[in-house]
Amino acid sequence: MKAVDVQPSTATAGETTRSVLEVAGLHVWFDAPDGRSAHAVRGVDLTVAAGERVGVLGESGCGKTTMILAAMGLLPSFASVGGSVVLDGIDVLARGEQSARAVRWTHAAMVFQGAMSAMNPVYRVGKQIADPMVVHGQRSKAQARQRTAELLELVGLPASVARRYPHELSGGMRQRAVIAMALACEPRVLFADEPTTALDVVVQAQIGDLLAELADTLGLALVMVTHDIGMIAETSARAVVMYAGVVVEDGPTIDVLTAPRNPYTRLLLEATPVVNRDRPLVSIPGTPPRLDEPISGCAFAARCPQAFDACAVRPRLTGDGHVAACHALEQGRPA
Amino acid sequence: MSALPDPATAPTTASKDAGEHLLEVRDLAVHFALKRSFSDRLARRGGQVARAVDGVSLTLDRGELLALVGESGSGKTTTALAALRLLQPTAGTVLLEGRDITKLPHRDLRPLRRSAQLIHQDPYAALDPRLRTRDLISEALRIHGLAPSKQAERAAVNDALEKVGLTPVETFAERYPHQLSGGQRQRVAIAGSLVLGPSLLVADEPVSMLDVSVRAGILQLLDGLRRDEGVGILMITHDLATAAHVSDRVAVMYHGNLVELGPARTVIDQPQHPYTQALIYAVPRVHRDEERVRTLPGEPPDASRVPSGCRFHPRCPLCEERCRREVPGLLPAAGDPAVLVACHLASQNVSITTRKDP
Repeated sequence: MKAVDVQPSTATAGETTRSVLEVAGLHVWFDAPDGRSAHAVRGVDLTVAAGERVGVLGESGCGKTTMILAAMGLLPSFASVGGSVVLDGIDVLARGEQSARAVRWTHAAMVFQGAMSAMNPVYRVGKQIADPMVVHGQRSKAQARQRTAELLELVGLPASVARRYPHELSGGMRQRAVIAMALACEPRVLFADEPTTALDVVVQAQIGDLLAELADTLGLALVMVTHDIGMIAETSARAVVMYAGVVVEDGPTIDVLTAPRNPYTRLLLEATPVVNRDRPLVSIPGTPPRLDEPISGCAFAARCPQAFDACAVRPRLTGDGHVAACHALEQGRPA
Repeated sequence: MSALPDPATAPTTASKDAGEHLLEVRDLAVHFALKRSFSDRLARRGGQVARAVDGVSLTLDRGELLALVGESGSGKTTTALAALRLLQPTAGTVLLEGRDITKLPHRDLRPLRRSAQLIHQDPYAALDPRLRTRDLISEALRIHGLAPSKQAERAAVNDALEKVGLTPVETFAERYPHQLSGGQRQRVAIAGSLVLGPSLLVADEPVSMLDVSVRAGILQLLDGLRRDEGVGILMITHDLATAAHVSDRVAVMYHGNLVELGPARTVIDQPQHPYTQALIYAVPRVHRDEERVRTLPGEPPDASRVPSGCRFHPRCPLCEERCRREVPGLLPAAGDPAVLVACHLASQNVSITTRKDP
């Protein structure tokens, strides 16, 4: 991962807000061997306050995972990053790996999608939860063992799980153990990348409830990336919708999901099957734009039923509290 | 009304059904032998057996879409594979168009493969990356000897592509899988099944790998196929919302058994079995008109350890003494005989949301 200077960041770390995560003007390019590059994140601003639960919603390829990987400094070496990410007062991108190491575990931690591959199969679960505390010099081995038992209890697992190997746990138990691991060094921000996607429905609900509860009791900022609208509805107070590398809508979850202002959000909701409502499903015609070709104007215009000539220019996020990027909205046309 | 046969004098359903249903599964069981442990060997015992499917009966008619719902490990995919005889059932019979396919010799299976087709979950893995769409689809025609001439083959492929909505067909026919989106790939996979003119399609989680914006298109395609072509579709899904939108009937599986089977709307709006209720209440909602009930404790069970009595009793919040001893049968529900439910308490109109104490 290398830093690229795009533009001076608009938000600075010195602001006296109680935000724990400030992403400003974030751009990410993935460079292909043939010299082309895919512009995966195309200018994202996102500020998350302490204790806030944010759900980032989008389909595959919209840049949601790339954004949080960039925030943790976890992008591969062929990625170029522009803009700024300030995590708990530390500029993550300023000094490359060095500054990223300073925030990982202790300021921000991540829960990955596949709970099986997030753990090392040859070590006992307890050791894997205790290790980061020891490595980061927060606790002695004995203290870390003690704390591991507390963490397991916190996520609803018996302390005996510490002696087990990952393969001995079910999917839901493993995801709980991974959450315990993420909490080991008492981070202020917890990123969760599709934390429930690989799990069964009943277990999904359990893990979603657990994450929301932990965020509230520990005052954690939870940034959950998912394609599952229902999961956002249940766990997040604020919903951010991404499309083709940009934020297209951002607001209180209930407003975004019941009165969407961006046509993409509205169509996505109409395309989602719902258990308790009888209405025809719609599919969104076309496919998202290619990210390795320049996108001018609104990226959704080609698929949007309401596109008009103004859409040739990229729309800005407008609104108060509940913002959306759409020219139709700006001009007062119904969404 | 008088034209209706008197139920008492009408021929027994068993003999009548045999010719009527497209697919009829009776008391199907599929057991997998697990490795014998060291202690088993010492005690000279046989190894343990995972009872993945244990006595499942269901029917599917032409033009019907039946959703088989359950969590992973519930036996839904095993049931479907055994119904296609891609797995040899341990016990029970499978009648496809009235013919028992469980004992067919191997050489007679090819015509069966033509009339019963499987659509896989992952359209990225299901298509050979080195073949163009046209070759992917025509391969099946050649294997079954259905392409007498180049022109006939071409026409059949174009027809299949048209049916799945990949138009202009000439453009899509020349593309490789990597040039197609996930939804387009799944359409190619469906076209590859359709070209053989099957009467039964088994779709194993056909949309779970796809993005939300293209899911509806694939579901509408399946819905159209059964309406226009009269194909019977058995759709396996873990997603009740998907089942609610397209299926006529829903069959809910738990631990190798059917626990509830009935018209989709009835099962989803008024679930009778506590497990079905838990599944429905666990689905996260956008429009939350009621507070979601506490989630079900525990996880899907281990198929090698079958509890006594009702298999759901260790996780059931309503479990009573009888549930631990007696296995409940799959019987018509008291309120609505169109719904079959396997629960001792079903007749009492139970709900996991209502508490026993006020």
